[in-house]
Amino acid sequence: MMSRSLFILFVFFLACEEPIKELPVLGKPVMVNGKEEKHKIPDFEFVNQSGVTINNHSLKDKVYLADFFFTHCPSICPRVTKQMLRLHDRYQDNPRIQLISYTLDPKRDTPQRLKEYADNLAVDHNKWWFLTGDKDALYDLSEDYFVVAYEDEDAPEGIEHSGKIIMVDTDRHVRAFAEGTDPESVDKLMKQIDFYLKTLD
Amino acid sequence: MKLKALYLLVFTAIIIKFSACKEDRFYEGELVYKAYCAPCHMNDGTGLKGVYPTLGNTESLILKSNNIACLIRNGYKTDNQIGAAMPPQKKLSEVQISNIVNYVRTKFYKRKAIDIKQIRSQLKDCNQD
Repeated sequence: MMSRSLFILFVFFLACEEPIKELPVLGKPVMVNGKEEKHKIPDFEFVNQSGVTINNHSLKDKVYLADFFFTHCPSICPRVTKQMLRLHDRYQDNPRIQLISYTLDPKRDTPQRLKEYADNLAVDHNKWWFLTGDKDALYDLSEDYFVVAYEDEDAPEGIEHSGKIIMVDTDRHVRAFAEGTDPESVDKLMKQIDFYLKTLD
Repeated sequence: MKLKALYLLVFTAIIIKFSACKEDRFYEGELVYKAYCAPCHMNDGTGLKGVYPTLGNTESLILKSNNIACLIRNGYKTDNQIGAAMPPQKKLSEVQISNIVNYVRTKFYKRKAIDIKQIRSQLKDCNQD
């Protein structure tokens, strides 16, 4: 009787904690010169809070976690930033991991303002880049991360956007994402990140 | 004996009823807090370090201010604002503001609730923008 109960309990825990077996590349493949290619984050070039130009080459061999936000955002951003902060603290000593927050309000979010924001959060400026630049380029890029972002005068501070945190692998493929407003979703993302990091060892 | 049991039953029912009332007291405050305040101050009142203040901190504005109801109604902005300014909440009623204040006071500051008359008087003296 006892062993049967233990077995049921064991099966129950197995059902709860399904191990991660693989992380497929997310997004629709595209046809390039008659050949199917997996979805990839395209080239970009923006400036970070230290005034340094950041592009895809800056992310060579990095696994990075990205979100879209703006410093005047009074709606979902603080919750998402709080979860990004958890990721920053967890992977602070892992040189493979980079964090990126793209602003959706480049007019007000100058590198100087982003630096003040990062200073106030007391984060490592090399570990977590806050990027700003051309507005259209930022909004176009958000689509490649599957983030919905658009200007809307009825939205808080005039910008509507979703709060996803996206994990991009060393080949610029989106491999996992979390709802940045939900700590449990970010817990799950952490497990996925750890799984992917192990495959690199 | 039967009468004694009946008394006991009624007494228990009254206790349960009143304890339920006590728990529900600032229930609306919790709901309104979660809708209007938690996006920045978070459900647990911890805020975002360096950007949005933690509630429950004894140095916090909410205890220093003698007109917290006004602060909620008119919002708050500093010259060197680093995040979003605390937005004005003109649509919230006196009762809703009172419930937020008392939810925050009791939940995060472990202080006693204040009377709605005090909130009304604060709102009356409040400079309307």
